Amino acid sequence: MRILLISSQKGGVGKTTTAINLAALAGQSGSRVLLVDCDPSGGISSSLGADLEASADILPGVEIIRLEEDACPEVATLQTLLARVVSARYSGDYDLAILDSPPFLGEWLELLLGLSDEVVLVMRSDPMGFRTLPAFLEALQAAGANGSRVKMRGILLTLPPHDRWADEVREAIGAYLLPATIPHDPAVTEALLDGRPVVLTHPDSLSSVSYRSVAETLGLFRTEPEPVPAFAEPTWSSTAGQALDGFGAEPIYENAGNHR
Amino acid sequence: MDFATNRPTTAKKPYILAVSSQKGGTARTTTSLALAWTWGRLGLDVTLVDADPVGATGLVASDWKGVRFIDGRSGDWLKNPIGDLVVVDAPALTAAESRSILDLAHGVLLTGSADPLSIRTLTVTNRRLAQARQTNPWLKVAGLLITAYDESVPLQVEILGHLRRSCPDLLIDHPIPELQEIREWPASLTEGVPDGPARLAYSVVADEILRLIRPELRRNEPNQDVLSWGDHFGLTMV
Repeated sequence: MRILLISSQKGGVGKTTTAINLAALAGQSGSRVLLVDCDPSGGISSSLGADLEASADILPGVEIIRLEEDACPEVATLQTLLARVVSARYSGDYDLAILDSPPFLGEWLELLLGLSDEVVLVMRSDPMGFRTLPAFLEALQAAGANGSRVKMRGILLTLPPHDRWADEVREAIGAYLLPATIPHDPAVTEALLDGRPVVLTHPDSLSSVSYRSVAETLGLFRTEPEPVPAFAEPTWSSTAGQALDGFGAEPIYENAGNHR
Repeated sequence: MDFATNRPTTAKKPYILAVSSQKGGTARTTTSLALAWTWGRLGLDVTLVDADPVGATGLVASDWKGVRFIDGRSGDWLKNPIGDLVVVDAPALTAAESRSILDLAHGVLLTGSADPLSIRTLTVTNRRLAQARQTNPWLKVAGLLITAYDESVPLQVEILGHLRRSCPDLLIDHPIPELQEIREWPASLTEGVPDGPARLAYSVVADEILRLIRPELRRNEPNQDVLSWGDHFGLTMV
């Protein structure tokens, strides 16, 4: 099971929307997805506007778990939730876990980076988003220094209405950006009012096309497992459990999509 | 003089206003900066505290009239807040770092955008404030300020209308319009809130908040910005 963290140093940039839509696409393609709401304000449940028990109807193939209800939880609450992600990893019941992180830095982000295999940073194309980027990159660096094996898969740029910064951002950090950009799209809000992800309600909308492209880049669509040579190097090597991930039970996503 | 603490006893305690929200991206930092700058220019003694781990306030705030900028991420400022008003750019209400701030604050200014998610999270905000009042029973809500308001979007107009009907006492009914220059403030080299509608909008809001939290600090002379804001719309301000 891959663990993909959707994160950001700043709120209101489209993290939760990205997490939900990527989970929906992966689930639709036949992957067994665990969508983990690590935000104490419960962004995912607020977006879907439904009880989590009903989530199977809204997001086929996706199971949602969230923090215990508490308006300002201690870090132990997150640890309890992450323990469930770890046991899901070893249960073999899921192909992919997508973690939606809370809109703040600090100890919570450290824990999330420590557990995740990959991280996508969502950034809104505006000066505040761009100028606070170093704060996130420092956290990522610190996580690496603390032994996290998390890989940065890229920055996903989301556009505000009437954007005029995207070109400048691309010029400055283009090499780190995912190829697709999420446009400002009223269909996202319409889907939100409906309590469903835009990729399911408006599959032909601009944002849905972009989200599909992101899912493809990240290799989230389920494909038939490629045959693995008998003596292939395991994808993960540090612990036995991680090494098992490399042995053909799942697609070797290292090769999938546009890998950076 | 109180010799035990070596502080003049006549000194009035500052009003501590935490600018916070449940959801991110609601212009907490921009609003903290704009309020501090506006009040400082009006002649008040303002302390602006950057208590958000991201540290975005420090990217914009410079040597402003009447404003003392403090990097508050260590929490040291909590021991001895100074000035007439302390504006705290606080982290999200759900973040643990918000606890010590809400324990000390007199009021919270909530920021939010007129979108469905912002409104849905108000329930959690309410729970969070109830929780904070267990340790700080005097904590007040200074109000809810709608930011990045775009009246060309029907849904936003509908949501603002809903808020006006359902919580008129909570709402500070001067939404900050969605303006390119507000979003670009951190990249511009302009001194203070960008001149024009942004400056006017925040002037009106700063005056309204002052009326709510520290009316005695309002100046007798008319606020020029507020007057010109009125002129802008052909209104007569009293």
